Amino acid sequence: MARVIFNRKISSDYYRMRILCPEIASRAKPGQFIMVRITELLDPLLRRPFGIHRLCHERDKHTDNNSPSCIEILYKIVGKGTIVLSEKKKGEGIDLMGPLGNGFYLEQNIETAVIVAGGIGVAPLFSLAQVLKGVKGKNTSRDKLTIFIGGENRKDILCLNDFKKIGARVVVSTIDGSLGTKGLVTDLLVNFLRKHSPLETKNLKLFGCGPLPMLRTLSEIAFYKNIPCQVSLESRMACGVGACQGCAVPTEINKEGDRVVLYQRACKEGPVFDSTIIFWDYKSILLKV
Amino acid sequence: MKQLHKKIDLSVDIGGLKMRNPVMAASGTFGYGEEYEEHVPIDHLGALITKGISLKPHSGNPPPRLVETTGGMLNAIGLQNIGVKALIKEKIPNLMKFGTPIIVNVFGSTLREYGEVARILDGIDAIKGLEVNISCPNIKRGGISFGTDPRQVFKVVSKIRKASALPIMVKLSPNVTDITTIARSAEEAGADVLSLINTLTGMAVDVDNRIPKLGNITGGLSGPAIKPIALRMVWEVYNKVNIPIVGIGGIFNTYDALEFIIVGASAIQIGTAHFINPSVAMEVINGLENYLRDNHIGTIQDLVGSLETPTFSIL
Repeated sequence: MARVIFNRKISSDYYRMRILCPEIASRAKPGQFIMVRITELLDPLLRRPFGIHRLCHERDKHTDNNSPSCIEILYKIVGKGTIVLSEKKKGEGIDLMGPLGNGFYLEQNIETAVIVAGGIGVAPLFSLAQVLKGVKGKNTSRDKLTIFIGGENRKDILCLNDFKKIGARVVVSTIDGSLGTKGLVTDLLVNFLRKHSPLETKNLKLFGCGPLPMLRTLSEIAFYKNIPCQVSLESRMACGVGACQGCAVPTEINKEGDRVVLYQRACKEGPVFDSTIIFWDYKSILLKV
Repeated sequence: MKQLHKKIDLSVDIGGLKMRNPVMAASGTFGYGEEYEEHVPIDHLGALITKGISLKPHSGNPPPRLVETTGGMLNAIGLQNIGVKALIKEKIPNLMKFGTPIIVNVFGSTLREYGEVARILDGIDAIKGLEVNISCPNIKRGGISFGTDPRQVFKVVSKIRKASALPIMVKLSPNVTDITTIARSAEEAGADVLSLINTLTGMAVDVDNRIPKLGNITGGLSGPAIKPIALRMVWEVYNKVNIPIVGIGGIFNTYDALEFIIVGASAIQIGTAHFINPSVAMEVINGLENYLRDNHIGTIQDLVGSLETPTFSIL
């Protein structure tokens, strides 16, 4: 069974847990997730999904070329499940299923990447940055990997130094202006694209994870600028393996010339999707009920 | 050979459905089987019941489709499925390799559709039975609207009886005043087996935004929370019909399964528990074997309906 290496409070509502699980860690890709059984008892009942935050070893902070033996999850206390999880102690066994789902699709020749993270959405994006840096080599300049991190206030800005340490450029925004630029994280991206000529951003790839409105804006920007964009979506899940269809995400698919809505499973086809296929107008579907 | 090491025989034959043990994977919780391939030794299951299948594909309900409640979960998937033709072409060939009996859960929005789906599935070797879904609470037409009226139940089951020579198991809804009248109708119409219960209709509200927590507003409650109700209904139906019953509802371990068998179930289905513990079916199969051995009971059949109720009264 997997074992908790540490379970640390990193700020008011956020925790980071490192778990020794070589079988999962050695196969895991950025963007994939694990299903954690919170308790052996039946309350809370369902497993909870967590994106793989970091691939690492028991002691060191960052992965080297050896196959990682540990994963980390980064989580926010939002309810009963995460409260119980936060009480797990070092050395305790923990029941995991994974790695699950499809991670980020990474081509070999990614020249420049921009990652946009909103709040706890930063969780699966650190392992992505780790691998992106790995793909391109440690000596590539900071300009090649930029992270925009946004949140309500300074407490929601996580992993700032971790991204810096792996050699990424980090820019922060908060809604209340308590850290970085005041405003939305997607505005940082708009400014970035304004400053760079289309030629400079020709081979740019976008990645994002965060609240739905943020991802929707990100997707619209990517669409207008014609930049490939992958987003990792959060959804409530029961099974995590594609059996229950509970985590369905509405997507728009071209079928014989018509755009039709097709539900895809966040746990199986996702959680990472090409942003152009997501049917963002969730609310208009709800109105049809 | 010592008695202690004697291999316990868990095999059952319920209404023509032959299984190596009485533990089945419930419809809707096990996908088309392949999803659990890496997580569960599917070949050990008594039988596998597919997601509910209709004539044409269904897209399902808008999200959110799930919400956890105390001791259970509400779902409103809306019978999203690939349709009977795709099932036969794309899923059955893969499922066959496990050698586990496949039961297809069928539903329709009209009587005719029920019959049509049953007819298409008849004669396919790997399929060993049909489970007729007259109890899904999450679609507007079909499903539960057929399952709450004894006359409609009779019509649907008769239709399928005519269309198929396979053993027919009818899945009953608990969202009725008297489940035994529905059970009797299904039996009279030619059902071989009854399975019960499907989920109980429920809802949950997001008080911050004053909106339902489910896209479909209401959903079906499953999990440990519904077990006492399921047990009571199995016991009631057991006392009123002469065909075998398959117990469903919050079975999470061997003792839960035993409770259902003791009140009258000849076999059981495990649903929601798979999500939390993919090994649950294997644990229950081993647990049943140990229980029979420890209590010197020969077969599962000897345990079915063995509930002893008080016979005295104080005046």
